[in-house]
Amino acid sequence: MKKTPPPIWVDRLLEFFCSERFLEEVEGDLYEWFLRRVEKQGLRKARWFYFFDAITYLRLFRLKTLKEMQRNNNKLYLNYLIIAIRQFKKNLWHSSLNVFGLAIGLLSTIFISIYVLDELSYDRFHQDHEKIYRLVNHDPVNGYKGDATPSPWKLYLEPAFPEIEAYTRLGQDIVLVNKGDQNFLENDFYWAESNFLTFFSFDIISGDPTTMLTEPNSVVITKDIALKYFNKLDVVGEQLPIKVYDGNQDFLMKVTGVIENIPGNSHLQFDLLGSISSTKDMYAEFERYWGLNWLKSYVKINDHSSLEEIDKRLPEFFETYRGEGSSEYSHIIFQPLDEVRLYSNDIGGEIAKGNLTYVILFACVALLILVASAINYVNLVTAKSGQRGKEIGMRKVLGARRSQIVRQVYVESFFQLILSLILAYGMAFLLLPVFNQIVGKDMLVSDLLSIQVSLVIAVAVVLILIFSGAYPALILNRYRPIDSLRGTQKNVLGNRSATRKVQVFFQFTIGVFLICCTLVVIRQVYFLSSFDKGFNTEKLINIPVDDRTLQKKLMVIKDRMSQVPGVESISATGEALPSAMNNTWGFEWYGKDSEEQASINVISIDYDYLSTLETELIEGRNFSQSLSTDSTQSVLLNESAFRMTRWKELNGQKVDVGDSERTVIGVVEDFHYNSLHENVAPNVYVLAGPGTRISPDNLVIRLNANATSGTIDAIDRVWGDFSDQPLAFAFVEDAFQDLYLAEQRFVKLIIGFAIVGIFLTILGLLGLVSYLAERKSKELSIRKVLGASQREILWKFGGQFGGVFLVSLLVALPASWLIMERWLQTFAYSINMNAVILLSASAIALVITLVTIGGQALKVAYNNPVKYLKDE
Amino acid sequence: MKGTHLGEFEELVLLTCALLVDNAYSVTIAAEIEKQTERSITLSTVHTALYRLEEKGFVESYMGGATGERGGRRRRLYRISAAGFETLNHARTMRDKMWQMMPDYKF
Repeated sequence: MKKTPPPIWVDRLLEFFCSERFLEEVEGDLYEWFLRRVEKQGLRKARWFYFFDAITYLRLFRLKTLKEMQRNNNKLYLNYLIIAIRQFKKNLWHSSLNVFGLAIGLLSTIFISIYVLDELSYDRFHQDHEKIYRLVNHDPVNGYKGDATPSPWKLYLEPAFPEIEAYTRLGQDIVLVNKGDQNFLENDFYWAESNFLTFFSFDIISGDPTTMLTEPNSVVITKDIALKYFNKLDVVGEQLPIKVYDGNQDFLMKVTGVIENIPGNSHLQFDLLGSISSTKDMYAEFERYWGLNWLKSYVKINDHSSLEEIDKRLPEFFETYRGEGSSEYSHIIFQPLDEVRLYSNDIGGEIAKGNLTYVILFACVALLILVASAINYVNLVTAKSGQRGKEIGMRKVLGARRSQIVRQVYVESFFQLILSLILAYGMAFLLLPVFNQIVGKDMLVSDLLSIQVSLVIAVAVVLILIFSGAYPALILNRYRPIDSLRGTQKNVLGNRSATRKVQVFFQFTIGVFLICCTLVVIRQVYFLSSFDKGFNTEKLINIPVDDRTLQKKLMVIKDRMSQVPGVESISATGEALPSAMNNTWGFEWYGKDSEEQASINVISIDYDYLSTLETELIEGRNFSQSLSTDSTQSVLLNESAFRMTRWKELNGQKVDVGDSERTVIGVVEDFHYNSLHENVAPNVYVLAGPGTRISPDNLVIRLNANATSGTIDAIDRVWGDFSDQPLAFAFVEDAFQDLYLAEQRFVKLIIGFAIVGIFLTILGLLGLVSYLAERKSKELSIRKVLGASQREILWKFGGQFGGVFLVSLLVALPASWLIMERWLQTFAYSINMNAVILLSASAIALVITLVTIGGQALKVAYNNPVKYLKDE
Repeated sequence: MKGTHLGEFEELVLLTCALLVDNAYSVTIAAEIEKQTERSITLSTVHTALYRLEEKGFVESYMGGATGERGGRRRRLYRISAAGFETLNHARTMRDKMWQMMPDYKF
């Protein structure tokens, strides 16, 4: 059998790092070991292992010493580096531009990487996160999905499904915390099950997580809250007086534990956790009540495969425990915890949702910017290398081998790359706070250096290095030393323009794509802000009244406030503006199929509601104070509810909402009470006094033209007469804008990065075109001498880009169409992708290109041909 | 005291080195340890151990002749030194002494 030698490149690697002192014996040993492996494991594995065996020899004591390194031709590397620095200095402006362009590309990649990685890291810090599922309350009949679940689920699910290993719940309550003589409103207070802190893996600072939520009146607080109320961390055992805002109940809670502040990449965000056992009395009736969706539920399931089994038995479960027929409109979706952040767009709930489309889009943009900047870099390096012919020729004459020239090119590339990398990271550190503010996250400097980000950047740098080195190295080695020294070198820089065309194609495509995306985003945002909501949001104020005792005095407060000068009108209502609608009830109407399941949002209003909002009645009449029956026996529907009833006209038909029959007296125009992500759901408006679940708990005030800041002060004074809480009010217009916070951030980001990308492509195009103009100058000048007109010259020069431009459009436009269509689908109301957008994007790109290319082309066309022809 | 301590793996290497007399070098030692202990050995760890043992003065090394099966490269052969033998012996006596004190366990 002929012996096959081990892979030679591994020997080279060994020679590269291993000191001569050990080299011979090590190589010999490895060779013998290799032969042994061939016998035992076969040739293929042996060759593979040869590399690993060699790598393990990498120990400090076996490394080459500095002296050894200086002894051999490594000294040349030093020379290469010196030449690289000199070249950099010589072309300072050009090189800095080059380095800066690449740094911008790398910076964008760094930022987008940390953004994307942060989005993907949500909730993965919990132990067993892949076994945790969020229970989503799903009604297959109307398609509703929400994270609020009925209490009986836990009661019955746990015994019915032994596959469920653990079950935990938490429910939000707004509370007032008393410190000294001041009350602080805490929004992020949750009641949590006793196993909550062992179920999830939040970091505990002090206290025993297994018992801290067991006893009634226990509260666990985060570090920030501990510092806020006690000014220290060692607070276990301290008392914290808490008043539940909604239920108007006081608790004297004992602090049983302190936990770290909740990490930013957790979808659960809370400041205080009360033991749910404290609420036994307050919410006793909910335990077996199916109609109220309040608590969020999470379960741990060990075996992924048992999910299907559970799903199969769910209908039977609902039939047994909720009642016959209930399986039709009750269903549970087990949503993996890892997906909660990015895949919850269609699921109701107050968590900060991420958007997968944004993540994908940003990743695309990062890639494009990086490609654009890398192409620019390679181009500029190539273009400049044309001037190095003499140096290369000299080196070759003095005995440089091809591989040495390649090495030199790579050293120069590497030098500039390192500069850009340093610049990019420097800018990243400086700009991180700004970036954080824009995206609304709090990522740390340490995130910039995380392994994943470093990996992305390392891969990018290596790829750029390979490409930016390979092309110039190839070109430079084509020089015949004799030609370059004699000064008769032919134009070796790719007379075939295929490579150029591919590069121009990339630049065009990226540019058009980014322009197109930016246009769509800007138009959609404009569409959202100018959308007719169906009511007037101008000078409209919303005041929430959450205190139950205060709600009883609402009519008096309303009366007092309506006398404030500057107040046009005022109305009390059960839903704020904007509102996600909190009371959804079953709905029956005249002529409904008995099979049909329908639900409707119930909103309590008063006589002044429609006039205050300035919304239209389409049919029938408003509630009237002169008809006493209106307050108990009449309702208004909105258009969407009216459509659901399939009635042709209003004729005194009756509807049934929450077991009370009422007559429909009017139909209100569909106005958009929430963000345009949502459709307008069926709504029913009723008159309701205080003391029920739907009682008015908001005041909506319309100011008139005379309103000044004094008006708000006067309203505040009236409020102060009734309540010891500060007045919390919001302008409805601002509140609606806040609904699009994510979009606004997205818009800022995408436009910012798009501008960077477009800028880079212009830069690249400019570099390319000026290079081409220089190369073609002789040809064009000869044409001119032979009688070509300036127009023909322009046409000849510009024409070569025409075809490429068209192909770019063919690629970029459909790509942007596909991606932006996806984004637009996240809105219930959106602009349509149409030819106009695509055409205008193309037009803008064309104008930019013409301006970029035109200058160069004109220069060639109008210059005296002698100038280009003389130099030979 | 740094430098004279004998680690478990080092002891194993030293022992094997002593057994192989005139033919002790990385490959043979590694192969022998694999054979005796039936565990997988990385060649470089044996080389590292030998290097450390030489530093501590427990083995002496000299370059052997080149053979064809090593691609014409010479090998570094090792021989146990008096100090190395004494340390090995000391380790064994101490262990034997402790074994004699061992109570009569029944499992």
